[in-house]
Amino acid sequence: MTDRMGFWAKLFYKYRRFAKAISLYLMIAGPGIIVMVADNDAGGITTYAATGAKFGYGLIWFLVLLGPVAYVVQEMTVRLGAVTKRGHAEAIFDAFGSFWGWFSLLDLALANWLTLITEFIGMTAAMWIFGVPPYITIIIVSIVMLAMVLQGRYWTWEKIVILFCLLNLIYIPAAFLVHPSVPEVLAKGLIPHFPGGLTGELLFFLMANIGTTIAPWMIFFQQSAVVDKEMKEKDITWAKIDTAIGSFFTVLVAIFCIIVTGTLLQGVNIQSAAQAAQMLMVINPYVGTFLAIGLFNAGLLGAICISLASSWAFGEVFGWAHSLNNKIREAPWFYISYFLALLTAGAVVLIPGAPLVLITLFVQVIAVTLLPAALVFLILLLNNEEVMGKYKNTLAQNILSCAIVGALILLSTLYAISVLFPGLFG
Amino acid sequence: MVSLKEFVAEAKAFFTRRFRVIAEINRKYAKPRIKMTRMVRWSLLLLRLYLIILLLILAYKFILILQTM
Repeated sequence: MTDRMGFWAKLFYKYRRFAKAISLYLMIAGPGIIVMVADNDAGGITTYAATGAKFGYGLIWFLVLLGPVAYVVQEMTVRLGAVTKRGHAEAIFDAFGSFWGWFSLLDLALANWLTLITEFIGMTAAMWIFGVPPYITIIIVSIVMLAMVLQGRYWTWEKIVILFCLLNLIYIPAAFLVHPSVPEVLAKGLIPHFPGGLTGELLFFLMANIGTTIAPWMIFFQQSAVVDKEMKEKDITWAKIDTAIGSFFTVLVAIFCIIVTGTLLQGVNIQSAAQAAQMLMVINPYVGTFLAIGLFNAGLLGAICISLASSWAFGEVFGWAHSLNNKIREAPWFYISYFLALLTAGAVVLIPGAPLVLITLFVQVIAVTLLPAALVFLILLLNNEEVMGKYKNTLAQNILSCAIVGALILLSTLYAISVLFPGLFG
Repeated sequence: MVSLKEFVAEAKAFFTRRFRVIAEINRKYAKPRIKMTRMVRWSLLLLRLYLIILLLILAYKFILILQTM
């Protein structure tokens, strides 16, 4: 009898500990999941849809590899933010001086603005499928985004965004609805190979997929979010778990998106996710609708995070109040810069005849080209013992992150060569 | 109604204030915390220049594709 009571007491104790751990995780959770899921933005969904249509399941293995790579990069930003209590822009200015600081800030501003344009492209294209004109979409989205940040609390903003993150999982039921052959997905998707050989086109898609999985804005966003959430060193472990869960979901959604177009639209020349959604509406209205909703949601998530990443970065450097916990009167320039970014990016989308799809794909490639510069600063910061103390990079982390930088530079170089000498790669 | 002279003066004052802010930022971060060796500084600069060249090649490709569209 005593043994049985002891068993139940132990079980209850374990349950209490588990419940406490979960609630502690839920308090910390946010920046990691948000940055990773928002990473599957409109440009990302377009890239995955085009990848699936072009190569079928052939590049799923590559995305599986990118998950841990994204985790390695983002985990470093978590440590940096929690230890320094500073955003990435300010950390670069402080550590490397104003020359490198301005270089990084202007890089970020340009890349983010271009990416923001692609988010609006995705959102307007998705809503156009349901008959909503682009200018109406832009106005409504801008109002929603402004309302979200103007309510004056980081925690409220975070919880709303996490709801949008959950909607990002819509590609999973869509993939089940297309009834893919699981043995075929596993056989063609998980064995590393280059479908059709190492051509210039494949290099472009590899770079676009990398650019959509790891982007400079993610480094700046997560570090600033960690600071705005007032995370401390003791929260690092939970923040790492948050980031790992986020990277798992980002790869999961990417794979399911590829499965959708790889099953129903393989061999079809897809220029955009919206085009894929329209085609799928004819084959299976539910799948088409899910893809369209997912595309809109992806664009909205991306727009929310990217515009904030820029505003946070400028606020850190220019010394403005720059927290979501500030009201508009307390941080006017923070909110003005946010609004201006939305306004100008939305305006580009409304230019008649603008090559929107081409812009979307190229922006992903631009992001990956600029990424090595951001990563090098991140690695140097994480190796500064004076600042990081016991949280500085280990040898293994340095080797891994340097290998990532090397691989990115190599891939960018190969693509540049394929552009200049098209005959070399076929 | 603001005269042209007043408008130019206002615009001049606006940009002077902005440049003053930038000058203050440059002064604040004039001394980097991390001391980079000359080799590291030059490597970083070369990396940046190389990436800018790659970006220009991308822009060239973008224009090429636009012309064929």
